[in-house]
Formats: sequence, C-alpha cells, structure tokens
Amino acid sequence: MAGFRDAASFSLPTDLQLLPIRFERLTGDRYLVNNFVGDGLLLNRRDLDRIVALDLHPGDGLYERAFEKLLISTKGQQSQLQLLATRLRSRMAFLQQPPRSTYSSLPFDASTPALIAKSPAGVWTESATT
Amino acid sequence: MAEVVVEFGPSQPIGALREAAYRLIREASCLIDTIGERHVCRLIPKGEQTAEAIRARFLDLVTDENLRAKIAAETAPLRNVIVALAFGSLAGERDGSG
Repeated sequence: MAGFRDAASFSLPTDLQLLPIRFERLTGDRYLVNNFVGDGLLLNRRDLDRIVALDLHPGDGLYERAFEKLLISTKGQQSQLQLLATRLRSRMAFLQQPPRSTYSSLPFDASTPALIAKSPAGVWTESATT
Repeated sequence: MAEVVVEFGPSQPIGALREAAYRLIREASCLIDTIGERHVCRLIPKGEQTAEAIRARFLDLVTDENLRAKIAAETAPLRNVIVALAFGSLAGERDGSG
C-alpha cells in the first residue's frame, strides 16, 4: 500500500525566472512596475531589486504579488508564457482588423488630383481621380 | 547656475547616459563627451534645483537605465518566446493562405 510522500514533495517551487518587465520611477522611492502586457504594481526600490534578483520566497507576500502579476515564473512553466502570449495577442488584435474609421479618415477625395495605379501590364502609371 | 560635471568609467555604457540625459531634459541640459575611455557628462541646470540635487537625480536615472538594460538582456529569450507564441500562428496562417 502506497504511503504519503514526505513534506518536501509538496513544497512550493523556488526555481524562479524573471519575466519581461518595465518600470518607471514615480515620486520618491515609489516605482510603477509593469509586466509584459501592462499590468502594474507599485513597489519601493528594495522590493523591485528583490524581484530582479529573484530574492523571493513563498509566503513572504512579495513572491505571491510578483507571481500574480506575471513578473516572475517558475523555470520550465509554460502556462505563464502562454497566458502572456494570449493576452498580448488580444491586445494587438486591432492590427489585424483596423477600425473602419481609419479608412474613412484617409485624405482621398474628389480634390485629390491623381492616384498612382498599376496598369494590367504591371507598369506604375498615374490615373485621374473620378 | 554653474554646470555640474559627472564622470563615468569605461564600464558604464553610453546608451544609458544618453537615455538618462533625455529623461533629465526638463531639469537640465546635458552634454556627453567621451574622452579616452571616460564619459564626461556636463549638466547645465535649467531651474532652481541645486547642483547636488541635479547630480543625484542624474545618477538615479543612470542607475535606473542600467537596471532596465540588465532586465532587457536577461529576459530577451523569454520575450521572444512570448511574441512567438502570440503571433507565430499568424505567420503560419499567412503563409498557408498566400
């Protein structure tokens, strides 16, 4: 009959890696730290240095906040990267389908003297606007 | 107000100095000379801040830039993986349809 594993088998992972982050110094000792997709966290310099140095331990509070905000992950863990990738793709979705207003604001109208068009023969020519 | 001179050794990348100079632009103008292996930054204050305050602010900005460069270098492979996961399939769709 199989017994329980020892307590060490259930310890939290400590093999950490830093994920891409950005930071800006606000007033005094306050920093706004953002993950790759822009989620922010306010930290002091000491905590920012601890995150960059990966001087974090489960249960110390900062570890949990950094993990939750996708500032750090465990080495070999794909789910954090997948989550960031999914959110990045969602945020950049407008590049695939630009809003129609972009087209309507283009400066092509009856006052435009000529457009450059490609003839069937493949030669670039000027054609009058209708 | 007299200019503030800050010198850096060869281990300090000049890119971080340029970035810090730009971020300091509201408070001081900065001229960066490279003499031999040293970078000499001449800060000309624009406001009422003391020379020591300008120097401290500039050094803080350089420190921040150095940390940004370190983070960018360390996380570059992961950044590439995330971008590839996000947009790699789009390239496949484009190649498949074209």
